[in-house]
Amino acid sequence: MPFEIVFDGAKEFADLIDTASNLIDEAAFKIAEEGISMRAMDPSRVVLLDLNLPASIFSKYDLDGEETVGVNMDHFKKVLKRGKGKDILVLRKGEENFLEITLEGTAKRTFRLPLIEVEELELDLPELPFTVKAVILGEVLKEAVKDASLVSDSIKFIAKENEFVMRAEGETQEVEIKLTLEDEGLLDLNVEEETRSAYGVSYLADMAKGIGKADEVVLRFGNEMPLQMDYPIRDEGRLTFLLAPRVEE
Amino acid sequence: MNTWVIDSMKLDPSLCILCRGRGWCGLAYCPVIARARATLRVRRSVSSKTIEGSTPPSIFIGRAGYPYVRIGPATPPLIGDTKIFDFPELWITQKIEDILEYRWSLITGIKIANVKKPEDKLIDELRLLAMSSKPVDVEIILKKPPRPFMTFNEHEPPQGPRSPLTNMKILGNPSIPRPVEKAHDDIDLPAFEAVMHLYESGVPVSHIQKVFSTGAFGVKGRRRLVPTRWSITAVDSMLCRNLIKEIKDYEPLNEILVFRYRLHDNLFIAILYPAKWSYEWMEAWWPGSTWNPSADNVVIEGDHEGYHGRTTYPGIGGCYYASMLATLEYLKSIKRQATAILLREIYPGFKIPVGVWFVRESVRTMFNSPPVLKTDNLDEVMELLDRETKLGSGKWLSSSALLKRIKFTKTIDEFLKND
Repeated sequence: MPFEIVFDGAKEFADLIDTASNLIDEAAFKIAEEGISMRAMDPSRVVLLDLNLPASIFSKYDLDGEETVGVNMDHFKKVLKRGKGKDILVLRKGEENFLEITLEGTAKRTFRLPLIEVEELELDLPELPFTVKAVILGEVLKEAVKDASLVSDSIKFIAKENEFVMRAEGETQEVEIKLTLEDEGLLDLNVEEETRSAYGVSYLADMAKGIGKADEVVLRFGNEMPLQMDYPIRDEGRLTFLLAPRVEE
Repeated sequence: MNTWVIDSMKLDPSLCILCRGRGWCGLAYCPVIARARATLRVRRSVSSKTIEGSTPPSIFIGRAGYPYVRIGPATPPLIGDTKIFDFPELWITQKIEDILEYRWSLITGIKIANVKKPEDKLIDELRLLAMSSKPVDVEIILKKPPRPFMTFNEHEPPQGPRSPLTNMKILGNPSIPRPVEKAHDDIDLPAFEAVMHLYESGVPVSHIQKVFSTGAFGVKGRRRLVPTRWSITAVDSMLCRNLIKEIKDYEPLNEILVFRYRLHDNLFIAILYPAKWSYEWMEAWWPGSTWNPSADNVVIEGDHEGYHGRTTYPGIGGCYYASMLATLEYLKSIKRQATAILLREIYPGFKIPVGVWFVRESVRTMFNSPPVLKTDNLDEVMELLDRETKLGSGKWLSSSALLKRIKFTKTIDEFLKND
């Protein structure tokens, strides 16, 4: 089924696909009336990705019936990276099995990417009993992940009333990143009970890569529960990661 | 970190393990190698300036002084079927002493060459020798009779006497396999593709490495001599890159498989875990083994990569790719992918570094026997590690990034089931 979708800001879209491509090789994008969605699991089945881009964030959203397109994320990423900040991105598909990607700037540059068979991930997001919700700045998370990777391959999230701590402990070194509501980096914090959970640093690093420094990131977690990380795209859109915890050694 | 003292300089044994004789400790000689060298006898000394022999074939491309490196032909002073003198694929069933004897009886004539100008008469002739799949009779004329001289390192087979080369004559007929000749003649074929093609045509890896080092492949104008040591790992890693792509199309294993192999005071263990492709290579060097001259610390070093591979060179060196190649060959043969964790323990009796081939061929041999354990339960793997390894499961677990990942990281699936 043909469609034509226009997004103002090729760079922003490229960052999104870049982030997802750190974790998955191929993806099935569902193009429906409401918008574009994609759900996938990384090869080690530790991270679940869920992307939701409602039709309203696009400047043009025309389609002729619902459709799922499978793409190789690495190829998709490389094409999108050719776009500049102000370029307009046009995603188009005709009757043929190709995705046309046009970058409109000083010239119209059109790439044709072959579509591939990708199995859709048939599952619903679990309703998990999270006990913490924290809203932090993208920059804080990015820096915390870098700090932690110096000393360990796992990072502990600890939340108490009015305090959110990220801590990594190596054999000889330690690092602690402490946030309270007085800190600029912590925008909101709701803690039902004191909560601790640990996560793999390399997965977090992949998840945090594409986040803008000024983005508001919503973190939800529970004791030895997955970490749910949401970050908004143009207010109404959302990229969600669900990262399985590491159990204590 | 434990240190040891030689000539009143402190050496960090973990540095020795990563360096392997490349001189990182700052000494003019490698004390590790020197000690090993001193304990060994000189097998053969030759007093003539003219050496006639059948080269296996064997050629040498050095790396010191790059891009101006020492190159030359090597031959034992013997006529006949000398193939085994430079054919690591056949060595795994041999005694270390025999392998050293093969290597040390190879006499090398040496000249300096610029790697970027792989077009002169000597290099053309060396290439011709390297391309041959059978020994070739040669006459090597040296400036002076070769002095007994021996080298060791983990990456390159040990070498025998050397002397500056005056002239070389090829007396016999090189027997060049068709695919090798075609890849060499094709000046539009990138080196990467040439290597893939030869491997798929069944040319032994050691032969590809030999030819590759003579600058025989690649697009016209971009051909280079490649030092033997680099060529070995370059070819291993290229083959790995391609095989990884292939096995990623296969389903993951459906149970854990464990393999084990013991040889020459070395223990190899492979744990193939039912998950998508990832790889880890870990070595534990006992005090007194080749690259760990310390008195009492077992030194563990290793590297790993996830599904998407790595972008930096693994600090542990060429063994990483040699073992990975053997592992990928096995996975390809059973049409599966897996998270592969390879462990090696090196005990004090293993004092002579014999070359990176030893790891590749040991791991290949290991996968030729059936697994010693098939299970769904990681705890059984830990019990096996306690039984089979000297280090024990606890120490291996804390050193291995992938074992930790498997044991301590839950998967999302576990949280989907609960709902």
